[in-house]
Amino acid sequence: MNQMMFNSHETHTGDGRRVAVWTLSSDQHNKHSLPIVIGSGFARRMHHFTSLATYGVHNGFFVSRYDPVNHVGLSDGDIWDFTLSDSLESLRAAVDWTCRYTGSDKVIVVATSLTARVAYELAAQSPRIEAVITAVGVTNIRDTFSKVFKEDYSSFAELPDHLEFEGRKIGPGVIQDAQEHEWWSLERCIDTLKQVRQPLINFIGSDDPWVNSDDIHKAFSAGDGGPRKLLTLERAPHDLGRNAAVAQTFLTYLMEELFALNQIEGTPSVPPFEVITQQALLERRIQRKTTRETESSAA
Amino acid sequence: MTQLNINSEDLLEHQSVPATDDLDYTIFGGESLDLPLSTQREIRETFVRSAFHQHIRGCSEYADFVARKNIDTEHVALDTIPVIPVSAFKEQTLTSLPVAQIEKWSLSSGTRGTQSKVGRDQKSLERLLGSIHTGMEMLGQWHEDQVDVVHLGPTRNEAGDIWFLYVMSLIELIHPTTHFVASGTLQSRQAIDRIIDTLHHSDQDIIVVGAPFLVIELTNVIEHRQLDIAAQDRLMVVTAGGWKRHSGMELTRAAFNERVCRVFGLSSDAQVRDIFNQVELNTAFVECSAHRKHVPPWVYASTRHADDLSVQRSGELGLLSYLDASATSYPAFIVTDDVGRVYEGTCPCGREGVTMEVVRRLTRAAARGCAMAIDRKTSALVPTEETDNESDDV
Ligand SMILES: [Zn+2]
Repeated sequence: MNQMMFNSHETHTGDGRRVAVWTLSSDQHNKHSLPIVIGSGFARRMHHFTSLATYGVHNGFFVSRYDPVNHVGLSDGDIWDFTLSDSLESLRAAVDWTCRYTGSDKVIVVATSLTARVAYELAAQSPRIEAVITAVGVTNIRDTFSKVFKEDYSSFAELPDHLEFEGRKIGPGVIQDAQEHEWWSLERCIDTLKQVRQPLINFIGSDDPWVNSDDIHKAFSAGDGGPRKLLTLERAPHDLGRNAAVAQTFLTYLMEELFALNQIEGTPSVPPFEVITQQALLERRIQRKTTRETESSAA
Repeated sequence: MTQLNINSEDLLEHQSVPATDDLDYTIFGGESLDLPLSTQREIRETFVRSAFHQHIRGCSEYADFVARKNIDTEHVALDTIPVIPVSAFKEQTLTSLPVAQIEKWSLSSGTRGTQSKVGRDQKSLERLLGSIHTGMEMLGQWHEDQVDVVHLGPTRNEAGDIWFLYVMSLIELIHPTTHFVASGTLQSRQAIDRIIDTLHHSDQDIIVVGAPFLVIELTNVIEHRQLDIAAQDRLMVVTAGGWKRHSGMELTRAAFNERVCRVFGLSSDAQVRDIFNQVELNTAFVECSAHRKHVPPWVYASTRHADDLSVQRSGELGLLSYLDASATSYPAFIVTDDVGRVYEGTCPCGREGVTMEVVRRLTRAAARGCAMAIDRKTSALVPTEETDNESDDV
């Protein structure tokens, strides 16, 4: 593969908050393919998706990533203030920016876990999304939150002080926002999917303890606003990157779907281990240097 | 509107795909060291035997070596699977896959020309990283940013092809890491400043990773500067490589632990751990809190008699030998120059399974003698020249 080109950019949400964006591309970029926008899962950052981005670029795509506002990562705000509505605005900003930057009318969104729910919502609203591919996508937020946090907050009359995920504290705003904007229910997700005319593809992990695959089947059957496809990765956990073999299977199938969506002939190829490793180290250094500097200045 | 990759006329298509093989499922599952002993034995039998057949098919040198042993390859017992002296990797390249699939050639430490050279494909490299990941979880349950790693070694680029340095440098993929060896020199002052800064200005824990002699060098500087680190339970020291090599220090492991605990002000010597690996082995063995190195079930570890390489009983002193099923690109079925012990049973940490310890390194002449004794007909797999380097280690 020819040299990959990595760049840092920024854009803003509609109300002016800064969203950090990374792009990865190469001079072998297939000019006929649509750009890809990657939406990381909850509490994940751009550098956790090095492999996906590198696979994309290695197979001729232009790839954008972003960190949402009020989240971990390089954008404005702190994860304490995380809400799904902000997550939606961050994805919207990244999609709009990518279209402007590349001159493309449309993009394909690849979103993971909780961000899948947000991507479905944006697909119903934005003509700039040509298709959405999700991995371990959440359609029933109430159920997934109950599994992750061991409480069904949707029924709480009073908000909790905070939630905790992987050692990080998240304020009660996420619950309040979910209640006010009806993010909770599977039924509301199905209503959204009925309005999504674009193709949707979702990868299910058969060993995923946080996503009930029956809900996904129900959502994709009833939410039949357009073509729908489900792929179950057998013996795959929620974190598809944990098992390198699962990751490679997922990324290879994902590339095949991207080829089909772009009507590209041929078989996707796997980027060399060392290329991914070098890129992963580079991105971790950028992400961590900024994080450490921010923490020092805050202290 | 673009088309989906769908064959049926239905709007919803569903497809199920196998995403992982059994061995990867075990390696990356993260629970292999906590399985009951009987399950670990079954895993070992299945995967080591399967790897044996793969290497006979893929590596002609190994297939020739095995053919001369006159064994029933279909029903072979693990104890009778032929093992390659590690010195053979200095003499020739042994691969079980087409060379085009090799992603990384790695060298042992030591002087050029007398180094072992081992080629790994993507799968072997990923599995090695998987074994480190699982091992790290035995050290503690941290999320990515909850630890700051002080690496007494070079960056991945400066590590080049030296396996030990390369593997150590990749801890940066797991936790935020700063490398404190540049141009071969330990930057002790900067490393110590980093530790103190993190202890005082962050809520992260710290892992100091490095070769034992570099850890000692760091403790010397801390003492010289009369610094009171008092890290208590917030710092862990993880060593890898070279207990004998640079050891002019004549320090027993217990004395090393005592010194490290005192100088860093640690709460317990369970915060000092060692990791074992060598270039010819594709799995890392990580110490538990009881200071035993646990061998994951896809590796069959044993000790062997130096005269005929027959497998010894649990706990008997002999030559350490490994049949590592995780390597796909070369036969990681080796007998080493290390003298040690392998135990099977319940570890004081509570886990069932296999643990190993290295006691000392065989002298060069003895190692050669041993290698020659394996089978005089297998000279292709045995060095004929005396070499002056120490055997290599991670
Ligand atoms: Zn133990």
